[in-house]
Amino acid sequence: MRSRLAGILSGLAIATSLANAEIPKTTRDFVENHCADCHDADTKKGGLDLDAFLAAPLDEKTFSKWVRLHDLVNDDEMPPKKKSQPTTEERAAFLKEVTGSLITNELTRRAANGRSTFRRLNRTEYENTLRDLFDLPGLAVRDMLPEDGRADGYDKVAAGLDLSHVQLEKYLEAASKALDAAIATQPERPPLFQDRLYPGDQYMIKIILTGGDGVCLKDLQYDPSVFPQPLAGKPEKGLRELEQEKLFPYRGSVGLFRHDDDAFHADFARFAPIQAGFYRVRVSVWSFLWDKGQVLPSPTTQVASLNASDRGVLGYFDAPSLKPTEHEMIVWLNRGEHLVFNCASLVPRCVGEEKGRAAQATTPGIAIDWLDVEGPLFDTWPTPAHQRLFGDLPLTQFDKKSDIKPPLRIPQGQHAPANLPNYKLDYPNQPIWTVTSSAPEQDAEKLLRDFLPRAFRHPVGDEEVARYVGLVRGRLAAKVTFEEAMRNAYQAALCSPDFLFLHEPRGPLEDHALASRLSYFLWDSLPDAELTKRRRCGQTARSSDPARPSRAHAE
Amino acid sequence: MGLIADNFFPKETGLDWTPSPYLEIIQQHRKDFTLFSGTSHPAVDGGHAAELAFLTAAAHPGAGGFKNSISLDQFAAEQIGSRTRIPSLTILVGSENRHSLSFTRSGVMIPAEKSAAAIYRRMFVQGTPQEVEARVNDLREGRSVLDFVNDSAKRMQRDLGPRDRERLDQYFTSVRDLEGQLVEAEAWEHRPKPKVSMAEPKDITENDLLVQRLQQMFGVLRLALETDSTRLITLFINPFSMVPKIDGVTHETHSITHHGNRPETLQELGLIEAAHFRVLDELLTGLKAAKEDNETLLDRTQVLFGSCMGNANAHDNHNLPVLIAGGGYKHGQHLGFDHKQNYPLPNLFVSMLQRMGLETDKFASSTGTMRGLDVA
Repeated sequence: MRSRLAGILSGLAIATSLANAEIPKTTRDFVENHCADCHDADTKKGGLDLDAFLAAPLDEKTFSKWVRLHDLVNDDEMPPKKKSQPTTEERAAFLKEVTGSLITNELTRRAANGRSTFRRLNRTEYENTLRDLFDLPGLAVRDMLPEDGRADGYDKVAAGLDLSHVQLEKYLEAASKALDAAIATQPERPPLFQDRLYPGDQYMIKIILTGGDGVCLKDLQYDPSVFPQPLAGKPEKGLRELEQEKLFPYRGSVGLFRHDDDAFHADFARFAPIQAGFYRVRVSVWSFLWDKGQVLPSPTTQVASLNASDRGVLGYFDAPSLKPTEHEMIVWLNRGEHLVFNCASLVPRCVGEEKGRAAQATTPGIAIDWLDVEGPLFDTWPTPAHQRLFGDLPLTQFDKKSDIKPPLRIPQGQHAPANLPNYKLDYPNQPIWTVTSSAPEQDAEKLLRDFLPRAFRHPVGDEEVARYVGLVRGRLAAKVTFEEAMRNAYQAALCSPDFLFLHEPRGPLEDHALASRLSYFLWDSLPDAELTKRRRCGQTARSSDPARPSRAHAE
Repeated sequence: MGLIADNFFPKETGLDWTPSPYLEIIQQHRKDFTLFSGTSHPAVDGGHAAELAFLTAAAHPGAGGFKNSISLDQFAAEQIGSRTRIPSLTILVGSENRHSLSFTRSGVMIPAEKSAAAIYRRMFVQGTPQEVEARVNDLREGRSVLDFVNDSAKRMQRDLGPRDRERLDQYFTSVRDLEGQLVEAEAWEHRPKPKVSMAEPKDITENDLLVQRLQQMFGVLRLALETDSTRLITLFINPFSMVPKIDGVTHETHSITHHGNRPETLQELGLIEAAHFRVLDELLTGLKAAKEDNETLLDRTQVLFGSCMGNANAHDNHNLPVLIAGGGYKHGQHLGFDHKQNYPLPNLFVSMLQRMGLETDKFASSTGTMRGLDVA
């Protein structure tokens, strides 16, 4: 069997051209005798001018053409059958020489550049890496970044992952956002927020009701008492009139006819967390068949979901026929996010635009009775995210009279849409609390020595740690708080090429590089604690180590 | 969200058109604008999604994996943005999100500014020396972070092969470009801001006072142009999910754009759209009243008005309602193109860019400059 060279030497990247490699004589003669008739500068059959080709050096640009040339001769496709054929020996000598040149050429290049190309993280990897690094599982920074380019359909290839000042500016912002989310600004855990949200009390659902794509329900029946419009026919009332007539808020159940889309969004905007974290969400739902005003058993159990306004699905659950059923989920919510209810198993039918609207329609529906939220739920305070940045250093009250610049604090208001009253202040903006250190430089060194290798996915030398400590020292001298100075160092680390790029040095991979390659291949993120521990002990699961079944493989 | 076609497009083309109900509202400016019919962005579809591409003309905005391209204003801002304190203004009046019409070269949406007061403060309120110093310090802090990471990259460079160094070069270039922007921003901090007679506006918090909010915003924007604080503004009017407080309007705007040609619904929608034209009329009047070197400000300002949908009822992205006012063109015409085979609207963008003095002969899917639109 003849092997195809193209297969062996796949995966080449394109970059610099190498030193001028001489085309050996056997190759030249072979081309002269068997190819030049058709493929010289005059005839250029099939657009191929071998005169020009031979004059050019063998480098990355001509490499793939040489591979093709090799394959054509190797497969007896060239020279064509009706032309005079080279002897078996001539052919073999030519192929051997070309193969040799190509392999030498590639090995030289690999020695100079390594096997893999240095590339930046794509935005999925970037977000996952920040989430894992800070232990902030729902941190949303992906959409702050420009969409990544692709090369041959892949978004993990250097050629598709260019970098410009647009990205860099966004990396600075995203790092800042992650640090905001991670750093604790009060010594006590935030008070627990608990509330029951009614669908008829949500602005978007009121619009849905007046638009004719949902109905009020009570005791598993149509409820015309508050909002009779669907069956009353014309003239229809608009939302303004209804609000003036004090028909809302409605505290009953609401049945919806339609899947979520651009124009139909059952957004529970009455609640948006101030504090990112885990929240317990409980919802009561059931399904029905709407038949021109009658609420009949649903032919099937329907499926609903709860989504986070910016991030998509948090969870799916059943809505059984005419049986209000409670479901509880613990979900991560970011500051300012809303919960959005979606009738996942319904089609995007627009009853409100049909003739006769709900009064004439027979269509499946999903009812939601209420939505409870409780949170944020913290096992520890400060959060693990904060502890990863500041260890167990205490939070103390900032002295506003000192000559130190106070740390920036985002006002702690309930983030609500503009057309809602400011819903609730969870806790007032108390005195400023900030992390303090009695030995700032030593603490900075200790914290950075822990943080930098995790962020960079490789060991970090004393000199490099000292450089970061120097940055902290400089900021402290400029009269900012310890928190702010550390924040600058963390931000610099998160915008440095060590963090942003995947770097595999030339030669055999060291353990940390192997761990990183494995984890970005499998999880699009940095190595987790176990993989990191193993690589520190030199135990990364290599294929040559059959005694240790790879955990990654198992996952 | 489109305009009711019969209320906008006149029946006749050329100079002698009879004003439609909406054009009647801006009839006094008849000699200062040109109307277009039978134009659209080639391959831009997707109903509402086309609003992403109204100023970019990037193909198939509704399709999965859509990647947007640079918008008209940002294209110009790249070249002339640094000449003014604010390179460009991206504004939204209406709905609750911060969606905008402006996109960077890499297709990232620029979040919209919604507060007229904030824009006013940026342009006209001179900070205290301490505030200026604080902002300058922030900018310098940003630069010191950039210096630091630049050093990190230099250290890393030592371990890289020649091919990888080329990738890292992009990093150095990015740092340099961003640093340049921060230096420019700092220079502006030191220049005094222009003084204007108008007092700082108080933002209208009632979301449904759409007309009043537009009037307030246009008041500030006129000052922005008069003082040459910026030369590039995009404003997105998005009445989605809102019952605007206009006499006779009681339904949410989006739901009535799907009017199904029901007369009472069309009438209600017509009230909302007519209100937009009354605000446009005030804007044009205001720009005409302001003088700059013996010309009216309107003659020196190109005002593009339009929508990404020709027929919102059917989510159709052809035959877009578009007009351009001011900018020193020979105006007064209705340029009618083929309603079945639409004329490419990006050509108008090329004309506008050239009119701003930018040397370009191509924008997105353009095929030339706008046929029939000449400089006066």
